[in-house]
Amino acid sequence: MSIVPNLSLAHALGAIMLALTVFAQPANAMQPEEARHLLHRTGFGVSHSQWQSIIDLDYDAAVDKLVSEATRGQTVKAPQWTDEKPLWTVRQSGWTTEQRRELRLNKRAKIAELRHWWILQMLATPTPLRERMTLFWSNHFTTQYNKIFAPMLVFNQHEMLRSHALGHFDKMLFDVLQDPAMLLYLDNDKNNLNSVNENLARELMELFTLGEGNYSEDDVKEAARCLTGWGVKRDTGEFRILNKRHDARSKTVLGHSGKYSGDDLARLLLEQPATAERIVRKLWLEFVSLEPNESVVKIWALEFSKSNYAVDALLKTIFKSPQFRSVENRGVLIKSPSELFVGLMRPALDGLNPEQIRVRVSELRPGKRLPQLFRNAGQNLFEPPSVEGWPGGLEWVDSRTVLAREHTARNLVVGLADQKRGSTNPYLISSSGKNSKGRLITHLNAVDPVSHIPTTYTQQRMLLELIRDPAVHVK
Amino acid sequence: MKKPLKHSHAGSASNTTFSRRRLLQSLAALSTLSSGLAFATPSTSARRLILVELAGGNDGLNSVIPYTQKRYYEARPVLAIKRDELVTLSDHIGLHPKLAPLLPAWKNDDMHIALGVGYPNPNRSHFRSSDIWHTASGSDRILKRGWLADAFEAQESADFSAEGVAFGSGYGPFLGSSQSLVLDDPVTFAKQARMMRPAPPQPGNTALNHVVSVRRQIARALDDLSVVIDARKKRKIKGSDLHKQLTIVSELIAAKAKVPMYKVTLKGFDTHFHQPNRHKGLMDDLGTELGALRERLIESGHWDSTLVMTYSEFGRRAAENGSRGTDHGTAAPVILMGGGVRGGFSGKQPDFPDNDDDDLAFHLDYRQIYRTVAKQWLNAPAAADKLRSFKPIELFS
Repeated sequence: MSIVPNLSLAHALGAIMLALTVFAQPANAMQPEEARHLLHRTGFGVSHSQWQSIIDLDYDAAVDKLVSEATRGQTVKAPQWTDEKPLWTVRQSGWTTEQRRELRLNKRAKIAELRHWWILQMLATPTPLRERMTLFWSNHFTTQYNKIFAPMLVFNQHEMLRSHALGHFDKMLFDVLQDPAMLLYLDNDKNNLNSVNENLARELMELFTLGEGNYSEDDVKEAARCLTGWGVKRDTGEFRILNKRHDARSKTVLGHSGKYSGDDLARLLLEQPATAERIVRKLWLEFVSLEPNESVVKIWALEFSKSNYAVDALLKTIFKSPQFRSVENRGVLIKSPSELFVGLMRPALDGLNPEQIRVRVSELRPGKRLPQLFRNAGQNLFEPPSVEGWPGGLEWVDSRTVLAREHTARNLVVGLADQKRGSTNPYLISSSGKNSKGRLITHLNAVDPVSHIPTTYTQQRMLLELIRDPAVHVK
Repeated sequence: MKKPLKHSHAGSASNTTFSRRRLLQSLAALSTLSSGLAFATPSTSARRLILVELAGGNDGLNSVIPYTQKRYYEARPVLAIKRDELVTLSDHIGLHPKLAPLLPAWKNDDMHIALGVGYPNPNRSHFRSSDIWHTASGSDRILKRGWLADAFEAQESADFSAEGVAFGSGYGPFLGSSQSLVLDDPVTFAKQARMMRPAPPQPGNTALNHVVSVRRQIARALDDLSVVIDARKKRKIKGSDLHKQLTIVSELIAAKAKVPMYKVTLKGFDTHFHQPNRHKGLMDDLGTELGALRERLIESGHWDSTLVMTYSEFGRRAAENGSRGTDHGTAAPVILMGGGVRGGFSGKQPDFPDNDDDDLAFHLDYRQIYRTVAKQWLNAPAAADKLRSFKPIELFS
């Protein structure tokens, strides 16, 4: 099936001819359309320098490069206050209304700053795949800021997830179970020897590892006992295990018995094939298509658990697979608001350092309100709608979000296009010369527009037409 | 099966509470009948449902008040509404004084109160419990679709410009519907929707088709809604959010917008502290606006074909807390209004628990009301069938 069946034959041929003449190819280099798919699927739009860095490689080498570079990756400097201690301020009983108000405003400002910082991170990163994976994990190990109201804990969790983003899933799971934000979010600070709270244990099994149908209610109860006493120090906000609140007796989880701790529980869950399968299935939905192929999922999952849950190796397998590369799977996924907005912005910010990017973004008309625009489009960072995270897939686009998406896309692109670099529209700087229009489409869109955009249009007009076309929403 | 309408335009003989104004309206309606056949029999599709979400957990006990229960006054020394202030409805139930604007509806048998509504194993999380109410699930099941999503037969829904229009906060009961809209701000909606470019019918894959069909839904609704929205551009509505939402709703209804269901939201019911004034303000807003809505719909001749229903994710604890407020509770009343309803009560006011830590027990499952509304009012079998294990209530006369 062709993605754009209504494209006339002549139009299609023209596009191919153009592609052939513009991108002079070394012998083993991949097809430009493959590069386009790979970069759009694994990053945010395509910047010219990114394109240049892989276009002469063969496909597998390009995947290896993308993935291994993403295991490193510098970051935009975090706000000053993020290294402060204690990790949170607990309201004292004797406080005045004024003091309480100040704390509230202080927290509100901090979480707003974090949202902004996260977006800058996506805009400025030299390794977009790392940010995509950070988004992925924070939508797997979800935390809603609105429940815990502790900016620093949210920040620390976020950094923890980023540090493991292409690392090892097992290590990440151990860290998650000792993460103060997670323990508070799922009420494990109330999970004690004499009054068990099952919230974390249940979501751990249902959402973070096995998935529904792979454990019993008794397993949840027993798993909760393994986690008793794991909580947060009231004064500092740090992780602590209170031995007197921990149930040290024997538990039976998934048919195994022992005096298990939280770590033991995690190990048991990691031994189950369902855990690896669940993660692989979610990655399929993120990177391949809307319909996971179960037999392939099983094969990849086995490989994943055998590799000690090496995420980078799994990603290489996925990106090199025929399923990922299939022409039929191009443009079949809907971009999240982050992918859409950041993807439309990055091409205009190519080659700038994080500070220059920060300045340019702050000079945009909606610059200060960027996080709100993400929220209006259905992705309020640090605030997924529930513990299951954003449902994603087709649900990113509905009657409310589609308008917000298109409205914001237009404002951002028009705003950035006006911020000349030298005297040139920044979207066109890297695509000057022959077929600059074709290259602009390649950089902004994962697939060609549905509507015909005449080549006689000016570049400015073409930009606007591009973001009004339904194809802007897919990756 | 269509139920006879109490104040149908044809004017049934059994009707005893026909006010003079209603009579005039009916005559006016009859005169329009002579020029067109549109309303010869009020077809089911001409009926409308307006859902009013009281977000945050409304204190049911201080809205519909069991004033004869001694424990009400004992458990709520600060918050209890005094006997001589409340609006008496029956020999054991009264309304919050600020709901007095609903009294005309009550006296005219246009108001029905379902008492002690809830569900088994109640959840006290705002998010979860409102999801439960929006998806008509039990507390042990997570459903993904709103209870009114794609409620109608395809043939019927082809006549709608939108199946549901939700104001204020998300899709709520229309979640997952392919034909519903969220209107945060109708004017912005119209402005943005007009910038949309029409797209070719079948662009290709599932994702692109989805984008195109969502856009098409917007365009279809915009055509129908734009008359009202455009008129609004010039006159900004002043007043509370609920006032703005219900003003637009009644204008859309008066303009005969082809929308069978609306949902509006009144926020701020999470009254853990300083409840008296905050709750009073909310009751004032609710009472005033629902009273005014009724007047407007009577005026335009749509009251008999409209059903209004309030709901909230939970009620609050029976006893007040130490901060002049109430914490998350369970069962609460649901208020229904409209020209077609049977005036009076359903269910039974729960007895006040002896222990301050206990909650009110529910007597009516909220899904019984849902089923009644879906089947008997909307004639929406897709929505009603999913709830067929729940016994309907006697909501219509």
